[in-house]
Amino acid sequence: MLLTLPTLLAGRIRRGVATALILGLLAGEVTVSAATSDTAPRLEYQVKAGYLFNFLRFTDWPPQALPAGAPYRIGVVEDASTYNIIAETLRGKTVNDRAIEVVYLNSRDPIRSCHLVFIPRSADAASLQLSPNAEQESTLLVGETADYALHDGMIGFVQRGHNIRFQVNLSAAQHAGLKLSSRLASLAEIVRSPSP
Amino acid sequence: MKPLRVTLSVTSLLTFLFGLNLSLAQTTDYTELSLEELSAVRIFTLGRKQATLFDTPNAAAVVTGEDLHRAGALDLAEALRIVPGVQVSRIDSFNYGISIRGFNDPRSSKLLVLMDGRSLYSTTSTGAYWNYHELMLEDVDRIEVLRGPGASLWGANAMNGVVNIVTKPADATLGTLFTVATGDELETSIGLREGLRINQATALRVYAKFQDHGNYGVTTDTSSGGWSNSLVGTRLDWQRPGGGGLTVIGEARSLRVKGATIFPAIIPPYYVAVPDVQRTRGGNLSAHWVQPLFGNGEVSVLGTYELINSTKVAAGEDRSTYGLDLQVTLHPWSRHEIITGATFRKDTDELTESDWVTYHEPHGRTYFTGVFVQDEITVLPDRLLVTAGSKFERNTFTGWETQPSLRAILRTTKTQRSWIGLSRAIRTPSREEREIRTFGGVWPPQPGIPLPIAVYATGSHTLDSEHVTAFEFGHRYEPNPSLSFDLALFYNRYTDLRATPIAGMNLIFTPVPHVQQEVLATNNLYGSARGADFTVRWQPISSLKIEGSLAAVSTVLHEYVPGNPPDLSIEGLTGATPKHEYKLRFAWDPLPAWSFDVSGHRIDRLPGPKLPAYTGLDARIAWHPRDYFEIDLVGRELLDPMHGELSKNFIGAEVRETSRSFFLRLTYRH
Repeated sequence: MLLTLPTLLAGRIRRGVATALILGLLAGEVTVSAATSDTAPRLEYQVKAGYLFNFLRFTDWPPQALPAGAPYRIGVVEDASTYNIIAETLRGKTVNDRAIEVVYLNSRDPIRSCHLVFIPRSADAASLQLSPNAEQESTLLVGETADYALHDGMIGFVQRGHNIRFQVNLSAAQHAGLKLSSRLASLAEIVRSPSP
Repeated sequence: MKPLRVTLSVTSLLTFLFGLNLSLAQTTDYTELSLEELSAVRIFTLGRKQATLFDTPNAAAVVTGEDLHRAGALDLAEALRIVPGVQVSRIDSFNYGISIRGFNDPRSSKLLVLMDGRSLYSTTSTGAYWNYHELMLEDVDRIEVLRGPGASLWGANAMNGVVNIVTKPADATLGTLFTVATGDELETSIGLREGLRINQATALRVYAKFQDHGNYGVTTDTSSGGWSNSLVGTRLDWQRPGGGGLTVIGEARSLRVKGATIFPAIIPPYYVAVPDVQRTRGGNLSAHWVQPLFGNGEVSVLGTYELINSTKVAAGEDRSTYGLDLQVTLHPWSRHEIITGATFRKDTDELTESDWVTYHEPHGRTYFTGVFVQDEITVLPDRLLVTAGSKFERNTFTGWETQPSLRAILRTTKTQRSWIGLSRAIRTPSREEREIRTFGGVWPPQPGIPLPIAVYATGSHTLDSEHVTAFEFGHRYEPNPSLSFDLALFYNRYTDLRATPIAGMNLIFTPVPHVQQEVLATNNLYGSARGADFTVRWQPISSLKIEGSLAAVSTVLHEYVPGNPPDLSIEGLTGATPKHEYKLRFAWDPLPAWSFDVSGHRIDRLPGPKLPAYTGLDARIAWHPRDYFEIDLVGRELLDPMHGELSKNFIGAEVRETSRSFFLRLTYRH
């Protein structure tokens, strides 16, 4: 009863928390760790997990990034409570005949192994190790800070009244070799990065 | 640094332990929803937690700030008119009776009203002082209404419903807002707000509002004429880097009611109008701290202070209220969400006496101290949820009270939910009900009774709390995001309701011969109320929203000790609630710069203070050529030249009638 998540996931959390713990002990100052993370309002992140599920459904990854039969990997950065809610909501789900794995990422972890990375508001997005050619890694970056889709990633959650909606930056997705279906685009608020 | 590190590792460990034990206590699996359905999910806070209207095991309704603006509401009482299941009856220019599921009266004694968590319930006279608690309606995020008992979480006096007014955080109201309105009944309304960001984590707003209302309706008496109120306030929000934060609200209010107060008299015409200027002044201060706890949990502490000073001919009061509300949310085991906390309230009052009202003990100090605990258990994941909880509270008037609640919600299909609720709630006596001695009314001489009868009402220290046991059932059906049906049925058993049976008769010869009849407050009534609330929401096209609702209630009360003649308070308690009340609201945006709103209501006749049924129609037309500028014209009661809604609760009181009215409003935001 006490431990219901699969051992696999539990192991991942344990590793994440342990890393945070060790970092906290080693560093001379308090580091941003899972322990001081945002209290995730559960319902809000259940709804966002529902969106992430749909983002997987309506995005095409290049075949080299997503071999046949491989599971989708979602990374949740640096927030144990958000990670827990998303992992639990997506546990055991399949989409497009693929399983979904949700992994916990520290801001220092490379993101390249994930198909979708969600960066919660509380995570230190700046320190996230986006490799120089992250875009070529075909990772769909989803965030929730203000103008996230415009400046940093491809999809950003926005609050509209009491509803949760999302913004999409199509050119950023295209640069990363991702194809977002027209269905996804038709329900999104489209934003365009300022021309360089 | 060492102790800090130790603390951190302990917290990390706790996060690890508690963070794992996560249950998604929800009957909806959000991965089953399409993108359209997800984007239609609206998240509120119902029952001290995040919830949607679809998945909450309560009869609930929410109106947003935009709904209030479109309804042309200018004050709190008028704002509640559009909420399904809430009965709002205007008594005169200034007084309202507002109720849920019966027992409508000028005091709204069975409703608990909260503004940003601060209770507006008056321990002096029960209920909320509707028009004193003025607010900037433009800064209201939403009003959440739970129908039925909410006592297992909020405690005493959340008997028939909880009204929770939530204002927007300061970072959602940046910039300038200026609004001015004028009309035939409302003479002036001016509101001004300035919101600014102090740094990335901190925002502040300051606001001021003034309203001046003219006389109301058509009447032969001269009682309460115009009234005016003013409000100044500020709200500061600071977001804590790790989540949570601090909210501080400070406000000052003033209310002035001109006119006269009608008192009974034992010489013809058996009433006397005493010129009166009622003044109520006060302020409130609250601080709310929220912080994450163990990763998935949360702790919230709210401290409030309020001061009210009221002077009027009949009776005044000086009251200070301290409140403390601690809430902790935890997920200690899988499939369990525990909400627990403690509440404290202290009221100190000094009541002012007059020729018509005296008190056994004009100075009072009352305490409410309680704890609450609730466990939401996922019995079958994504299918069945059970919520069990109780509040244990001690109050100065009636000692310890237990107010439990058991609820369950079942997902029958993806688009349907059924829920049941069984709960018990109490209403404590008020200071007035315990202490008052008042000359309450006069029966003029009638055939067979040649003398006038003067009624004196006396409060009692032996008065116990009123109790309700509520049985509720609800069903919801949302075939698609733009159409929903919400039905709630209830059966409430009331015991120990306060009555005012006749306790004695004396023949008095001065100043003129009359009969003096004594009535004494006792818990002499019991009975039941049964009824249904039904709401339909439909958005056939994106520019048109329709909401229709029906509230039906039927109340039957009996005396434990039959009086002869039967207690008149039964008629007062049951007679002011219509058996059926229908509401229908259209919000239509035919063109980008134009909005139309039409709302109709049909109120059954009232048997108590006899009033005929009436149908009302309100309408609004708005032109907003720019984002920052809007001008709108609001018309009220367009169909009905005159109707009464509720009488003041004393013998011989006459019902004031209202007629159609208009106002023009200009809103500027930048």
